[in-house]
This record gives sequence, structure tokens and C-alpha cells, in this order.
Amino acid sequence: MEKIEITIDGRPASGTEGMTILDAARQLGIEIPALCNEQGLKPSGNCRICVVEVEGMNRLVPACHTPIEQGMNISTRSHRVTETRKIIVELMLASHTGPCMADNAAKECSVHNIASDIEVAPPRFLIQNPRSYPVEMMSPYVKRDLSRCILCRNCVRACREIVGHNVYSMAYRGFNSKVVVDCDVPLDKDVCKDCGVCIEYCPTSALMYPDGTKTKGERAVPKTKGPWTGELDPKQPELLTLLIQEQRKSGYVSSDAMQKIADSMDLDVGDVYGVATFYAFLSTTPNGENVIRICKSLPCYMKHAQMVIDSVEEELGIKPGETTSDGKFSFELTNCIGACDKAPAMLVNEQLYGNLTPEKISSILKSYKMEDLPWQSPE
Amino acid sequence: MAESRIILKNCEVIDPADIGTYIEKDGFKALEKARTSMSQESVIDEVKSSGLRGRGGAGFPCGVKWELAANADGSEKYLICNADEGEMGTFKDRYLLEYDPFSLIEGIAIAAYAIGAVKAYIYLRGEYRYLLSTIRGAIGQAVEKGYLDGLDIVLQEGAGAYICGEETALMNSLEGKRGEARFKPPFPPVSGLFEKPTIINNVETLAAIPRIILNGAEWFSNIGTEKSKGTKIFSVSGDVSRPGIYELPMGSSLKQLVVDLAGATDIKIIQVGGAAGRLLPYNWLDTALSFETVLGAGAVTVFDSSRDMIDVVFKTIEFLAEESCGLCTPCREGSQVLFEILERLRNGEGEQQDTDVLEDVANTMAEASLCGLGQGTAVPVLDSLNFFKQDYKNRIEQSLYIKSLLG
Repeated sequence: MEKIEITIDGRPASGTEGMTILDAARQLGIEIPALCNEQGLKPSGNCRICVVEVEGMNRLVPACHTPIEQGMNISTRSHRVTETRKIIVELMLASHTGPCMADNAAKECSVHNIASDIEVAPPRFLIQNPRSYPVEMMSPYVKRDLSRCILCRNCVRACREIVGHNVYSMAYRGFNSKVVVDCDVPLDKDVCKDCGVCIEYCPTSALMYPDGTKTKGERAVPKTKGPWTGELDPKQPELLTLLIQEQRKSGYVSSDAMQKIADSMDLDVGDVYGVATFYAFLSTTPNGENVIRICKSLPCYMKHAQMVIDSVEEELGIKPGETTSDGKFSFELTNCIGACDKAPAMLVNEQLYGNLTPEKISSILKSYKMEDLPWQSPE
Repeated sequence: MAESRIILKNCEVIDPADIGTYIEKDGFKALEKARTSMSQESVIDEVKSSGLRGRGGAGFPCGVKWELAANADGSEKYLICNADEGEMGTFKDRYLLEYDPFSLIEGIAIAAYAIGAVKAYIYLRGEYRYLLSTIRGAIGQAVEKGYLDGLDIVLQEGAGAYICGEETALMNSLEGKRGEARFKPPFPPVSGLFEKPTIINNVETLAAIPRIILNGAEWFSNIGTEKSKGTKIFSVSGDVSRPGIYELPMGSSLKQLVVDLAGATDIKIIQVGGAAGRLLPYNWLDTALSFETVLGAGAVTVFDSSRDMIDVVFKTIEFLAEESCGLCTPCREGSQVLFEILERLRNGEGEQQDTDVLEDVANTMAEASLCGLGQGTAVPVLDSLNFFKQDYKNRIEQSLYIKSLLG
């Protein structure tokens, strides 16, 4: 195999095809901090702490999943790299302080260890509404305190890729992302045994043994059901379509419906829940017969979207996020619906209404008040 | 100055429900020409020498991308039409799909022929569900006429996620998964949908293909600037008297678009390229719109002097923060931090260090985010700090003064 010659921090190094920058650096004894990269797990590239500078590239690249290429000149500790890395850790601390800062779990937490290694000062900003969840202690094997979770997904991947189960799934989206069990219930699953693999792979104190400890050092020998034989990343092309159909038919996607879909596709219900909670137009709680979505993005906002919101509130007597008591209407605010030339605009079910005025809104809503189950109307 | 409607030539001219009216306007002649008198390579060469670049915002040379997929190993290849335009202020694809779905279908058929795909997908954003029947009807008529022989076009609707306009997130969504971005490499032309070589093109890009094949690469490349060939469709909104869709040669000035055509009379800020695009002051009006300067997917929103700059940035970041997929740390946490700081500033509760923190977080997102959404979130913040720093300074001073009065 052809040798690939590279330079890391001014030192020549060589590697083979398929090797990542992180592998090559470790060969030289150059440590690059990383949280979501663990031996035995496929790279995920989500924590971004391992970013390095490669000459000729516009942006920094993550060392954990960037393959080395002939002649690459890499800096792992330039000013640009260390400043960026510090702010990433600062962001993690900002959304993750509280419990671990206060108790002895801090020393068990790799985020705090990396923060002290690379000299990150206490964050200059704190997230006002950090992710906060009750501690889960129902499982006899794992104590979950997700307020401490940094969403590196090591537990999700370790359970899947090392143990061969699929206890955890990613759900929701953006800042509200969360590692869930089934349809977001506390961990208490028969399939979860005392293997401790997720605890060992968790870089923070989000996952601990029930006594609040977290052994470090030697990895526990995982009691697996044998090497993974299934597909790591199941392909499920019909899933989104089935969820959309269910949403249309029932007005929302219930836990029962998700379980049925999961069974029919040989998926874990947690993964179905993860998809259902990702998309804004899918709802896991009941909706009214008609869903009103008012665009609140800039082009509509500046053309008095607030007037539309006020008019709908007045007409229906509900606030965004609520459903009328007769179950006729639900009311949501949404991001740009691509009708900026007709601002302010809204969707009722899938019908677009633009250039709205209070009078127009009143007559539109009147027409829906008289209809029966309009979401079942033909396309 | 007048528009030059090349891509939009059939819009509001033909009947989108009647393929006959499209055929009368030279419809499907380009497809016939490609299939009967051109090899796959020569179609790709024609697109390459036309200089056509991706209209979704990234501007990657279209023919080069096709060539990568055509040369990739394996017989199973996919073509995806990205009809998930979610960029704030963008509605050009909606207009094309509504008034001329046939140009898109013909473009898809030519592209599929060129790269050797037997299956193509149209991923339509959930917000545009009301267009499904128009598109479905157009595909049905094209099938009936035999134009799509050997090609299966699947129409997939999205369910409300801006991130799915990002090509790797879109592929995840098509695979039925959470629409999270994937890291690259591998790049889609090598390993994309179902790990097969995949080409993803924007609606406008594909709709340009029949024109290029029929009229020739030279005709197309004679329009536009050195590095941006052809025309561009713009979506104009905000403080203008004639919001709407305009098609202009690449290199036309912002002034021609927003003042001459859309009728803006009072301009403080121009947002070009949507939420993840540029926030520019009025003195950029003479800038030529092109990939070399500013463009994005062609969304242009005008803000007049009554608008508060910090409010504009806040609403922009609110959008991006809500649409972050949540996979990588800089975007997931960074956009939330930006959102909270801007919300405070907007409410008159600014603090001295706010601009420094905004800049640091934005730079980190630009450097280290996994995909274009996180990287792009930095742009409006950095632009506003660059062009409108005084607005921030004033707001912070006011905030501190009021705070001091309150003790």
C-alpha cells in the first residue's frame, strides 16, 4: 500500500490510506483532545473538539474523521486551533454546568478535565435555559442524569456497536436534542442488563452506576450478546412517509402508532420517535382538526405577522401551541414557508393564504369552522 | 432595466396542467436532442463548458459534479432534485414548480441520462405540499408521452426542516432518518443516497439544463460574468413596492434588482442569500450579483430605515437556532448562545462584553461546525458586527445607562 507522507506540527509523519489525522497524530505521540471519538466506535464527528488546521483549507477540520492525504501540512495547536477549541469547550460548559461543578463528579467529567488541560476559563456566558431533566434511577443498572449530558452520542453508539442492543436513540432537534429511551421514558428496559458499557463510554457523569460511581481506567469487559451482525445504521426509506401518512390520517403520531410502525419495519420504537420528533410538521401529541401555521420569519414578521397572530388568537381564543376546546383548530408559529412575496402568510393544513388582513383571516377561519375533517380533503 | 426570462420563459405562459402547451414551446426537444444525437459524455461536456454552477447557493460547477458521478463505480446511481428551498426569503423554486414543472422534469430526464441514473427523486419541502398535485400531474403526463422511459421519478415530501435543504441531511431524510447532516468525505457523487453515487441539484439548476442543451453551451456562457454564467432567479421581499420573482443576467447590480425592478425607495439593510446569507449596508447597492461577490440562492430582503438592525439579526438567528439539527456542538450550543445574547440586546439589556462573545462564538461556528448551516449562522452576526457596529455600541451604552439609573 502506498505510503502517505504528511507533516504534523512541523514533524514529518507517514501513514496509509484510510488513516485519519487523529490516528496519524497519535502515532507521533501528539495528543488531540476528543470527546466523541472512542476506540471501537465508528467516528461521529459531533463534538468538534478535535479540530485541527490543514494548510490550504478554508475551515478547520475534525481530526477524527478527516482522512490523511499526500502532502498534508497539519497544525494541531496553532493559535487558530486552540482558540476555536477553547470556545467549543466553553460552549459545552455553558450548557452543562450546575451539578457537576458542584459535586465530586466534576473530576469524573472529561469536559471539565479537558477544560483544565487546555486552560479554559469559566464560561463568559451561561445559557439561560439549559437542558434540564429529572435524574432517572429506575434502572437497577444505570443512573441517568441527562442535565449533565453533552450529546456526544457515545452511549447510543456503544450500545449499538459494541453490545449489539439499541437501548438509546436520538430525539428532538437542535438545542433540545436528547438521548431517549423508547418514546422518551425513563430507562427501565428488560433488554438493558448490567453490562455497563454505556457508562464506561460516557465522557461525563450523565451515566453512572446506580451507586453514583463511574469506574475509570480498564474498560469493563462488555457482556455482549456476541458480535454485532445487524446493520449498524438501518435503512428505513419508508419511515418518514409512513409517519407523514399517520399524521395526516390521525392529526398526530401517537405512541401506539409509532410502536406499530416500528414493529412493521423491524425497528426500535425509539428510532421511530427520534424521526417523528425531528420534523416540525409531525406531532406526537394530538392536534386540532385543522392546523394553522403562521409564518413568523423576517419577511412576514416585518409585514405584520403579529397582526395575523393577534387576529387568530382573537378569532379562536387560543394562543400558539394550543388547541381549541372543540378540537377544531390548533395554532402554531412556523419558520419561513416561502411565501415572502405574499407576506404576511399562513398555512391552514396544507393550503397557503397570503396578503392577510384581519378581515381575510376572519373569513378564512369561518370557512374551516363549517367544514368537516378538512385534512382528509383530497390533495 | 428589463428582466431576461430564460429559465422562467414558460412561467405564466404555458398551462402547467397541460404538457401540450409546454411541447408547443419547444418542450422536450432538448431531451430528444440529448438522447438521439449526444453521448452521455457530450451532454456532460456541454454542461461543463456552459459554466453552469449550482443554483442552491454553493455554486459548485454542475458539469464537474455530474462527471464525478458518471465516473463513479457501480451501476446504481441516483439523481435528486432538491426542492426543499427553506432559506428564509426564498420562493423562486415554488414559482418554477407552480408555473413550469415540465422544464424541471425535462432537466431531470437529461441529467439522469448523463450520469446514468435510472431513479430520480424530487424532495419537496412539506410547506409546499399544495404543489404536489401539480408536480405529480406533470410527471404523469410526461410518463404517458413516453419521455420518462427507463427513468423512475419518485416524489418525496419533507415534513418541516430547513436543514433538509443541506444535501447530506436531505439524503438522510430520503432514507427515512432524522435529517441530520453527514460529515464529508465521502462526497455524494462518490457515496450518497444509500451509499450509492448521487447527484443533488437544485430545481433552478435542473430547469436550466434543457435551455443549455437546446441552445448550446456558448449561448449560455455568453450571458453573465467570467465565473458566473447565465441568468439567476431572485426572490425579492421586504420593504419594496413590488416583491416577487425576477430573473436577471448574472452580474446585474443589487440596485437594478431592488430599486429598478422591485421598487425599493428607502434602504438601510439588504439581506442577500437568506438567513445564512449576507447582511449588507445600502452602499453595497452597486455590487454585481454573482458567485464572485454575493448571491446565495438569490433571496434578497430589503429593510428600510425604520428597521432596527439588532431586531433583524435577532430574527435571523432565531430562525437558524430553531432549525439547527443539533448534531454538532458549535451549532447546537453556539446558535443558542447567539440567540440569547441577541434577545437580551433587543430587549435593551446589553452588556459590555456582548459584542466580543458574539464575535468569538460566530467565528467558532464558522470554523468548526459540521455543515453549512452552522457555518452560515456566523455570517449575519459577523456582517452586522462589521457593518453596523455602531448600532451594537449604542444599544449597549443605552442598556448600561438605563441599568445605572435603576441602580
